[in-house]
Amino acid sequence: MVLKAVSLQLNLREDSSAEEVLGNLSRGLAAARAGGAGLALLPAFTGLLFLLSEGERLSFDPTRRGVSFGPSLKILLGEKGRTGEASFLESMAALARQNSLFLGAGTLPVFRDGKMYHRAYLFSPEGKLVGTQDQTHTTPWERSWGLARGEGVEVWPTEIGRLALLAGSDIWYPEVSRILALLGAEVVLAPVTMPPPYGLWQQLAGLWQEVQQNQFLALESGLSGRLLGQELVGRSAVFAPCEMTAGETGFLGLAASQWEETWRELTRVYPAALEGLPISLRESASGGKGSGYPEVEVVSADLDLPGREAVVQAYPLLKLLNPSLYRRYLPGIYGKGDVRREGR
Amino acid sequence: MKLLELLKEKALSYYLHWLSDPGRVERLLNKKSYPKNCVALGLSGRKEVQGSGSSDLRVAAVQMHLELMPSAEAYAEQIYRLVRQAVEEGAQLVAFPEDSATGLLGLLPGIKKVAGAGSLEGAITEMAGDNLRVADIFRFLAPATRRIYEATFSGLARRFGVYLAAGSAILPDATGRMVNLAHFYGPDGGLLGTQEKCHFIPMEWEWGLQTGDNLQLFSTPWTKVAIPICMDASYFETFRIVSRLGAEIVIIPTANPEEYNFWKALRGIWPRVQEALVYGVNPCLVGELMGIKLTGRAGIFAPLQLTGNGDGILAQTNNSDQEEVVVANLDLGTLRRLRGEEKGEEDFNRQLYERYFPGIYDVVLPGHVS
Repeated sequence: MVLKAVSLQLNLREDSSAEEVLGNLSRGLAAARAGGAGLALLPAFTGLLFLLSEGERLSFDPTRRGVSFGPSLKILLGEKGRTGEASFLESMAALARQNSLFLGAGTLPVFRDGKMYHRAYLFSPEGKLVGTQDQTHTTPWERSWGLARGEGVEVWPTEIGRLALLAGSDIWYPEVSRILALLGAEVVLAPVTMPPPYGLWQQLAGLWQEVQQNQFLALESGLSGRLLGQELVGRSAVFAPCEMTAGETGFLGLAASQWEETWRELTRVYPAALEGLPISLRESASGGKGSGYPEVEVVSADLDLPGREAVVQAYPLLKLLNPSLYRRYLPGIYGKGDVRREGR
Repeated sequence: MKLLELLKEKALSYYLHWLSDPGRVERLLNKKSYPKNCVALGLSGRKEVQGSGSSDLRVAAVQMHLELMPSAEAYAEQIYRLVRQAVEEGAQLVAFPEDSATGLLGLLPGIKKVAGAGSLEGAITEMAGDNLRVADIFRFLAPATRRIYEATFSGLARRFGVYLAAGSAILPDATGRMVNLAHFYGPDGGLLGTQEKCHFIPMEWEWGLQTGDNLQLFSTPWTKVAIPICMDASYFETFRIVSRLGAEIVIIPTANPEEYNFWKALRGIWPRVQEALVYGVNPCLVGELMGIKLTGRAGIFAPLQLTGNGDGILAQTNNSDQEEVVVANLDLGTLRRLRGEEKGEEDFNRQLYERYFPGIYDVVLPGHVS
């Protein structure tokens, strides 16, 4: 089965209101559905838009003192966390249902048992919550605003394939992708945004290479712009094993929003590498599109699940693993700390 | 007939023994010149190379062309030339590619006549009938390979006074298993240790080779070095293990049997360096032999944050099919600061790992290739 999928790129403008952004996202999903998409992914922090009150701009500073992202987030979650989450879930369920597609609804930080988790959500075309995934690893920046780590990962069998969510910074921790792959994930959905820099090389070192070493298909949905006083960067893309893509680039789709940096870097390092990159990027590169990108960009691609299976059969990377080597060293090499005491 | 075959085999063994006399390598290397300022450079440990700034160590990655070598002297000549080139660039540690001893197949009488065969298996069938596997040929040649390979790299490490990661050779281990074995020599010419390849491409299983399940670390005056081989870099586990055990430099000797493609070539050492926050050295074997085309661009890689362009590349060859040597300085102090900041203990989720590792490999992959 070939599945049309879309990954939405969100380029926030500070003078936009949350309602305007959500309206654009909604229109993007409707256009995706009209184009035949059966799977869509929204960026990390999409849920934060539901914590803003009606009419509030994205530049809103709940601390009124210009302090950083973490304190702002805590104030918002404390004041509106529960109602915001409920509103987010309701709206996303409705969007999935209205557009009759599987929807990776992005992420929302949530409080549970006194701890804050970064949670990703997946809805079915009927609007039912298929599952959630908490981010399992935290960067120093995330720890600075009090984010706790999730404890497990899941893969959900659906009629379009075995789906999994990879929340936020987990794209940087290969242990997570390996577990998902060994649990049978065929398509991984990764809502991602982070403080700059996040350019071509960071993206290649993240989900692109996880796709290559695990042979699943993956969507990355990025948010760029300023939110709660924090500059954030994301780059939406659709990845597949190199063997399945034109020019063997590993890209099925890539947001045009940041093509200048990609074009510049590849031209400098190895110009032939530009050959085969998704057509929207190459057109942009030659056409000089400028910086006026839409607030919501739709990156679409065909996910060829039988084609992926054929690649795996021809070169079964996971069957060439060496379990006796890992038995000897894992998980002892991660340290001998008291994991029970660290438990939540 | 059987007796005749045995006599032929015995005669060939004697011939190979004579061809591989280490004295041949010694005599060749004794005739060569060695830059005076390079001797014992490695022994001095932290001594800086002139002009290297604050860097602790200068390393070289060799892109070596695979050629069938008719003699020990021809092989030693090629290796000498490449080491000298690296040392003249100031390298204190020089890394050679995977299968750096494979050119010694050229010692086999008649091999050149079948070198154009479509495959190594086809060439072997043409030479020796269809009862032999590729591993059997390497096993037969192993005593000669070992003598020439060791004499060459040990002799050059000592004469140039540098650390030599000698690439790898297909040899029997102590129990007779045929393995792909990397060798590491110190500046006194002593063998510091070996490393078996732990992950194979399907072709190596078909050849009849066996993987190892140990990862070694080698001490140098600067830091600990690991030398997994080629396909080992396709898996994060390799780098995670050696970096957690203390390696700060990971050498990946490579012989990649496919047409060069930037993106496919990017799937090995480069992302592993980013995950594990180590320096990566990637020597490559290039050329064509018996239907196998080897390509690659040797390079020296670092975490993105430690490269001027932010691309993770310190040095890389300009072509994918010819000999070339690249060098770069490794700043271990800066690497340690980065590792302290970016990959602290809090970065890892041990609860998650203990839940899944290593059992998940057995549960999900009961029929993994072996």
